[in-house]
Amino acid sequence: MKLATSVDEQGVALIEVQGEVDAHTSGDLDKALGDLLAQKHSRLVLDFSQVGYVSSAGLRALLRAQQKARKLGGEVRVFGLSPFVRQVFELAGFDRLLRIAATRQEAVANW
Amino acid sequence: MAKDPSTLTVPNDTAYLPVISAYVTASAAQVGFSEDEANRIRLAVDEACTNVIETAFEPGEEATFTVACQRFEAGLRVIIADQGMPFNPAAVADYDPQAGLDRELGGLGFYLMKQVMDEVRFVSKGREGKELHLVKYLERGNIATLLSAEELQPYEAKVQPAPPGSYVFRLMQPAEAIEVARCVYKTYGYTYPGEHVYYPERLSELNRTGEQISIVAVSDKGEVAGYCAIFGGRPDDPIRELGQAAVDPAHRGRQIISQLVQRAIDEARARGLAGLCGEPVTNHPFSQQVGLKLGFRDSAILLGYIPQSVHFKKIGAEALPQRETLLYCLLPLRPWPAAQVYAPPPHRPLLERIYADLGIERHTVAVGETSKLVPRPRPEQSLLSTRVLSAINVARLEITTYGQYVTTEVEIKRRELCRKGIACVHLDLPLSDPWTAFLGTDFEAQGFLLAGVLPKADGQDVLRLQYLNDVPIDLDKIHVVSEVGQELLAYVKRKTGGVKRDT
Repeated sequence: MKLATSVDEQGVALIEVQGEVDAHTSGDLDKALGDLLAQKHSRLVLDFSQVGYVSSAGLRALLRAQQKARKLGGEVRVFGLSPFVRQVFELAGFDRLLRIAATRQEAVANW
Repeated sequence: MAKDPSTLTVPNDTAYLPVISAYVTASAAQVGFSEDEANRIRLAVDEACTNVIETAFEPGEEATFTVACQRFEAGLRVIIADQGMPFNPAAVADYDPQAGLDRELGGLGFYLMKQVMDEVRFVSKGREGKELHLVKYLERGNIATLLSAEELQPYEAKVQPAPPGSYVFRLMQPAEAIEVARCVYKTYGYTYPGEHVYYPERLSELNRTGEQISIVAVSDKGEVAGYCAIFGGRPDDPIRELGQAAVDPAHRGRQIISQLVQRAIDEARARGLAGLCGEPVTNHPFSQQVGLKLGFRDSAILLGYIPQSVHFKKIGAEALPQRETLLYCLLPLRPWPAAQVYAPPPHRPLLERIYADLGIERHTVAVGETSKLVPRPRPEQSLLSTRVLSAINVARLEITTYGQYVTTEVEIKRRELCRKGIACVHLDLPLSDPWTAFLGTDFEAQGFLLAGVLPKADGQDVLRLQYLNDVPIDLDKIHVVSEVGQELLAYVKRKTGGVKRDT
């Protein structure tokens, strides 16, 4: 799994995730999100368009980040889910916890 | 039967999860699962392996575990086996996908496994470790998707009887599977617990491999007028179940069920089976009467076994008034070797009565003050497996070896299953083990009731006890035809005072 992080002029952090998010790789995602939150970036947008797989370990990292982001007045959003990854989100009821957008434009709009 | 079995041995390191995933995804594709289904199977195996890696071993301990893919006709079985620390599946937290942001994520991995697989089963092997069995069936053409709603309308109560004619009773031909599925659908609706019967292609495959033996009654016009099947377990199991009986109402009242069952018995005998068992319902007496007439004898009563939601259309009541009680009945098809059984003293007279009625030679060994029987010492750990039959919300605890703390282990598991809302917990005890005679009553003291005995052709009979988790059963609404069945029911009534209402 590869991660690329950037922060735009409005302070919205974009995390591009590439690869598979399982128990082995989720630690890196967890850390990247934790670092951003520690720097008080509470508006986090995850680009999942290049993620083919996610397991409960990946969901855990997202939930932890969402809990912290909400406390800071922001939130975690995600876009570009593959049909399978969307299924996992829905099975786990994570579509109720995170805003799932179709595109990047939709994800970064209306904070 | 497993085909092309393979096993992967991997270190207890999450870095190997992609290796496992590649192996499982390729195996699933080989069986014929779609990419999406293969991904779902991968998710379940990934969650199971992650759990093994993260919980079965001490931090820093270097170990390996295995992942085995077994292809069978109707799908894929994946067995994850490790020799790490014991694991109590009943202790897994219940994950709630509806909960809010402060939700607990404990149990999420197991929750996902159960969502994406058809069967999830734990097997504890004592010192030899533990296994998790994950099964996924190929999703091919459910009858509800193959035929129109019109073609699947429930059978009408009053139908024009079919013109008189003759019937042939024979093995189902593959092309008839769709007619069989329709017949069962129209009889039971979409509620028969054995779901294979709704998948014509699966049904004909299972028949090809012998995993199921389907018998049809065919009218002289070529219509499938009735159906029954031998199923459950593996083709080489000595005792298999007979059931799934359904008859088109236009052909009822013509002894079709009896002749179907007789044809099934002949088939089972010809294939060398040691016996057939059945689980007739008790909300009406018809199935029991057919079985009794053809030689089946009751040996256990399974209280509140089937959820109320199962409707047996046009037979007896409109809907089940309470969770449905079944009888367990047996027909030995050849003489069985004699064996010794160690029954708890209070159950001994009833078990002797059951064995006599079945014509099975069993010597029930006396224990107690007059007996010199001293069982061998118990190991520390019990061999205890748990199986949850989620379709009917029943759990089965099976003891293979009694450990020193077995009564506590059973009590803990039973409580955890009850907390999860399991309606009925069965406890299967080995009657060939003298400890059953000594410990059986301890389990009764925990609230388990006698269900009866499940005799086995090799003498390894099982004493089944049952625990109802706050399921009210009005025992007076149970119709039992045979004398032994009535004695079993009377025994339960004496123990419960009529209405079983556990707290």
